Amino acid sequence: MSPVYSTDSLLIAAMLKGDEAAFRLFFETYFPRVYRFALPRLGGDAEACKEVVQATLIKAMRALAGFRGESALFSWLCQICRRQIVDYLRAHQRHVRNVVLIDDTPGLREALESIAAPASDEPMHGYGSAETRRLVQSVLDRLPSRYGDVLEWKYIEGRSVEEIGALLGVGQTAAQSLLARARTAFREAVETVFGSAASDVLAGMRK
Amino acid sequence: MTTVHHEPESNDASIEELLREVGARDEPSAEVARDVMSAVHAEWRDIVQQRQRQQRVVAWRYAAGLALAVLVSTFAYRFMASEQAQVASIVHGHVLASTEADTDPKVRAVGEIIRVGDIVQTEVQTRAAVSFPDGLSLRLDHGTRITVDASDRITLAAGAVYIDAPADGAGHGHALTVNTIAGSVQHVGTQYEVRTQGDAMLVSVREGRVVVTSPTSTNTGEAGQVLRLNTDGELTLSMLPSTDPYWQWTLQAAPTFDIDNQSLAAFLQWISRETGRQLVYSTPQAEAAAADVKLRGSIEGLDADAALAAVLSTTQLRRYRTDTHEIGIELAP
Repeated sequence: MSPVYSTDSLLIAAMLKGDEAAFRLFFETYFPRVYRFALPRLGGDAEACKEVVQATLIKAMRALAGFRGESALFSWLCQICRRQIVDYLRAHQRHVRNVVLIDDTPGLREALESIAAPASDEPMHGYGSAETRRLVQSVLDRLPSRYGDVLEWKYIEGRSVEEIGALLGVGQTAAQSLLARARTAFREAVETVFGSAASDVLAGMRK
Repeated sequence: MTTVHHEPESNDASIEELLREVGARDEPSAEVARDVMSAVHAEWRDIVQQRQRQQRVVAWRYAAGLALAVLVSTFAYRFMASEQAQVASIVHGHVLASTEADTDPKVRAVGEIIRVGDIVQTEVQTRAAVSFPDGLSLRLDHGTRITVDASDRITLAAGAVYIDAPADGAGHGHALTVNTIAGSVQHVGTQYEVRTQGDAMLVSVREGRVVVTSPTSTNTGEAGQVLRLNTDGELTLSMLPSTDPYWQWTLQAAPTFDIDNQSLAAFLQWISRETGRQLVYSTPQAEAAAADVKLRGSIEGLDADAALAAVLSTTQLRRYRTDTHEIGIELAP
């Protein structure tokens, strides 16, 4: 059963105290997300990705005490990861240049990073199907708490609310509530990033 | 109370369709996760140990300076307000703690100290466990607030606490008094819960015996009983078996038992106590074998029954069928 930390700062405080459960929660929550962040930026090179993500998380451990909670923990990890990618590409000449993704463009980056607290953003339109797919997955990674996981468990894996509750170590009512909040956050995030509703994004993908 | 928002089904359907169209996010392979975890975990342990060493050095320096100051001012100190005595430490979860002098609640996490005078609270979704130096375990359910009045006395203002006070060899344990608006509870060597309920308190005794005192009466609660006492002094009695699922929150609030280098017997004793079931060995040989087996690894993340099954599967002992109040252990043929 996972412990519950109401903020990133509490999770970090527990890790700095040497709490194993907090470390495991941190790793299980953020390792896959940072990996997915790095992989497309390294042209899909899995070996390079492993090296970069490991370096990112080790750097993060060293800087843990300096995390002030001014940005979301994942955004902070992404900043470290970006620097590690640049260092990696400099050190390994086989990559001629950095891979720049559409979500690294300033407007979209701002929209993605505002997902925890959606604000008014310029709508983004006209992506191809593959780009849309990856952007929606980025949205899931950027949602707060474990909303992304909960939505995947429910709608892609078809798990019941009871099963989701068991996975999170909470009761059925709490799981139901979390799912409702996750849906709301996802819908708002999609509208922030794409400037249109989930149904329109879906229709665009199927064109 | 949690509020569940109901949304139009069409919204749900469009989210579901979009997510299905997009598909699951890629997961790194287990091998990559294991390798990276191992490297990052080692770095994290180093950082934590380094910080602890630095904190010890700072603490020693501070203590040395303080010792001098204390020596000089000992006489005067006796006539000042007494220092808050340290009574326990947090061993699971985190709490919000304040005092009468500093009413702004601060987070205290695992390893931090609880002192006399502290007002300790859990949030609506968190639980915590606090350990006293003599082994008494105090667990706080969701939304609980207590004041630590003395090293052997707390006041429960809201929520519920569970006390597990194993008796020592001589049958004595840490005596803790729990005061509530409706009365107080005292015990020696037992497991019980005190919960506030409006103007009443509910005392559920899982093991042993407690004494419930109100301004007008004194009553004894036995294992399996629930005593409800209100501020008018009215007492009602109901029953709650020691293995009832109601008690599960107390295990969820407990720190995970670290099995590494512990004997199987110690682990079985822990499981037995935490689940309210009696441990029964089929033969003295089975009991001796359990004492001889040393365990390695971790049961982190497993519930009690899964942990029991996982641990036993690595030994020459196994469970045999018993009623639900017992854990029967025998040597496998």
